[in-house]
Parts: sequence; C-alpha cells; structure tokens
Amino acid sequence: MANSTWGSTPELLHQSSAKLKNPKKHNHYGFKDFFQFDPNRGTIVDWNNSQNVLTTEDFIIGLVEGLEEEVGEASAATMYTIGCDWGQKDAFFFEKWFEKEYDRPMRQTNLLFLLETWWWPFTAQGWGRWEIDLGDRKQGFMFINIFDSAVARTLGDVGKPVCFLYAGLFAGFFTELVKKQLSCIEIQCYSMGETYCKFLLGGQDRIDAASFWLNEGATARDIEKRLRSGELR
Amino acid sequence: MLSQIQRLSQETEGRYASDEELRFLVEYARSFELRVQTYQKIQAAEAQILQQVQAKMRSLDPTLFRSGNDDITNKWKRDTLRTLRYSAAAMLIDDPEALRERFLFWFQTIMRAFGAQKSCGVTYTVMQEVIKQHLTTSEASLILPILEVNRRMLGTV
Amino acid sequence: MSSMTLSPNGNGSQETQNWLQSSVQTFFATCNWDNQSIEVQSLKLSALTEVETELALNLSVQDFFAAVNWDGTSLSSPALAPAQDLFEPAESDDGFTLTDFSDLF
Repeated sequence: MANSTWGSTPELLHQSSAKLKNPKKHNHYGFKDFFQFDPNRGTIVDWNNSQNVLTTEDFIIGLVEGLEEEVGEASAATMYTIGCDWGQKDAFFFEKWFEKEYDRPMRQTNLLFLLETWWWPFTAQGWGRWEIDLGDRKQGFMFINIFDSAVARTLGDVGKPVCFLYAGLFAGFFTELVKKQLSCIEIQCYSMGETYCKFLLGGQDRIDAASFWLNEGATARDIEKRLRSGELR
Repeated sequence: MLSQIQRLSQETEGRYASDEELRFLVEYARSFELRVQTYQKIQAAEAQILQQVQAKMRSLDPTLFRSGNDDITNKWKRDTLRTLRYSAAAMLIDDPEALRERFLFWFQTIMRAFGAQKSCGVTYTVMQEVIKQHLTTSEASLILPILEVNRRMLGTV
Repeated sequence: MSSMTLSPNGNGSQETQNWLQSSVQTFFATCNWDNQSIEVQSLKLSALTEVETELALNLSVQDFFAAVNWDGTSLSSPALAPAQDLFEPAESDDGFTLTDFSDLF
C-alpha cells in the first residue's frame, strides 16, 4: 500500500535494468516490475518513483479502530477527507507521470484508457481491482466497483460500509480531473456481506440523495434505479 | 518454470527440496529441446502467421479492423505481434504465470478500455488454427494452451 | 487512429537490439528475471572461462539453480524488456476524451 503519493523524494528513483532499458514499457505492473526493493537503503520505490511501504492487515485494523477510538463517529468523515486530499494530490502526480510515459496530453486521451492507466498502480499496490461504469455519464453520475477492497477485506463483515478512504480518493481525484466539485459515496460494501464494493460519484445533490435513501434502507439497486429515473429525493 | 523456481526457493528455505518438488524441473529439462525448437519456428514464421491470421480475419469480418471511422490494422498488427512474442517467450521458459502477471492482466484492461474484446477473441481463435499449420503436433501442444489463455483473457467481455 | 513512429531507444548501442528477435542463445543469456545477485552472475561468468565451476552447496536453492549454466551460452547484459514498446494508445477512439467527460458534470 502506498504511504504517500504527493511528490517523490528527489533521490529516490526506480532504476531497475528493465526500466533503464525501456522506460516506456507500459506493461510494468507485475510485482517485481513495479516495485524496486533496495534493502541497503530500506526503500521500496515504484515505477513512478513514489516511495511505498508494505503494511499488513494489522495496520489497517489499527488505523481504523484507532481513529474510531479517537474521534468516534467522525472517523468516517475523517477517512473521507483524507481520501479527498490524497485523490486531489494524486491527480497532479498522475498527470505528470502519464504525460511523461505516453508523450501526450492527458486531456486528449481516450478516457477509459486514461482511467485504467490511473488505477493500475493502485491495483499493483494491493488496493484492489476496479471496474468503471460510465453508462450514466450523460446524467452526470457514474459508478465505480471495487473488488478486494483492502479495507473491507481486512475488516470483514461488520454490517456497515467501511471504504471511506476510497470514496474520498475518488471524489478528490475526479474533482480535480473534471475541475468540478464532485462527491462520492459507497452504496454497497463487502463489509456488509456483498461480494464487491460499489461507489456512486457525482455532484453533491446526487450524493445527498443517495445518502438519504441509504439511511432509509435502500439497496444499491434501488439507488441506481431511482437515480436513473431522475429522482433527487 | 521460473515462477516455480522462485516459489520453490521460498518454500525450501533451510532444507532440501523433495523429489516431488523438483519434478517440474525434470519435466522442464525434458521438454527443453522441444521448446527451443518451437520458439525458433514461431520466430521464423511470425510474419507469415500474422499475415495469415489477418487475412482469415478479414474474410470473416472486415469490420474487425475498423474502430469507428478509423482503420486499426496497424495497431492490431503491433499489439498482436507483441502478444505473440510474449507468448512464445512464456512458452520457452514454461512460465504462463509470469505472462499473466506481467502482461495479460494489464493488457486485458487496456483491451476492454478500447472495446477490443471481440477482435481479440477472433484473433486468438484464428491464430490457434493458423499456427498449427506451422508446427508439428507436439510443438503446437506447447503454444496452443497459451494462445487459448490469451483468447479467454483478452477476448471475453 | 494515429499511425505510430517507432523510435529507437535512446542509447543506440548494440544492447538496444530487440531481444525478441535475438536467437535463443542470446535470449537465455540476457535473462535476469529474478535480478540475480552479483554472486550468481559471477558464478555464471566463471563457468564460461573455466572448464568446471563448482557451485557451492551453501547457495540458496534459487541462486543454485539460477547459476547453473543451463545452455552453455555466453553471459551478457541482463535485460528482458523489448527495446521498443509497441503499444500506443489511441489518440481518439469514439472521441470520448477527458474534456468531453468533464462537460457532463
């Protein structure tokens, strides 16, 4: 799991022989390709020169439970806010490495390809695989599915959604990407017994509506249906 | 084979490997000559293989080489050639796992992003037929399973 | 779709020869899949110059097998990545770019 992606320490560079020989090799997400381990310096640097830290499930549990102990119910909002900050900073970081790797401006790239490329480092880092559903984009919202959420898988079935960090990450990243204020809410979670996590991304009014319906006990499917039929309350 | 060696080295830290655990090495050694032969044949025939696959695909459905208004033949050639070469390399060292982890998982998402699954499905179906014409049965038996993995991973929606 | 110009790797030396077109001999010689340690690589090197090189039994299993000169070929620089990456993304697909996407929100 990445410990931070906001700016790499100047002297940390991924310089495996594979990368030096072919820095534009796009398929570099195998574990041993993506990460360079330097036992002498005790560093793990990824292909984009970001420093990484390997953590265990204990870390995640400690983080979540520790935060809950400190701030109680505000822990969800706190994790979301952290995620937003991370996502926003990652958007800048991503733009730099994407344009360097592909020699083209981000804004003129095929969107789905761009997004897949953004998420690959996260998959390599263990955050989980994803699936984007842009089917409702013309209505101004979209869905993101996450398989094997690191947080949810660690916490297991606890009867409530737990992937606030992810929701914040998506909100922060996409807000920066589209240059409009977007929010994100998890409408289905592995930690509630589902097989995967589902997130809704859109303007605040959509998210508020979904939040309201969730509190009333709506399922993800209900929410999808209502949004598609244009309901907002 | 290399992924298996990696795993073996971790599992046998501090002890000797059992005969059972070393069996894959014996099998690899046995198949080595055949793998080299197959690899070299594919290498020599790659241009022909690609050309034959393209021709067959065009006769089945010329729209497979169009994306909207664009002709994507050259793009198809580059992607297919690279995949074939990676496949041959994976066959040579008997490491389909590395092929998946270092290439196919990523390439699958890229193909999906471009909606190219149908094209990939046909490509690797046709390629299996075509490549059989260039190889003996035992040589083909080494590469066909890999091409089938390509078809399944890249060619299904 | 854009037609792509394949530009050769910057350093222009012999090492940029596309490994995928190299002979099997050269291919095996340039494999360094597991980032073999210097120890292993030097073992392999010594195996070329001496008739018999003893592989120490205190090597780890991985290093031991990695140092075996499987095909009696020469050792050259480790590299497995192709000199040229053949993949290039489409410039415009159905024309749906980030700018179009942003306009929807």
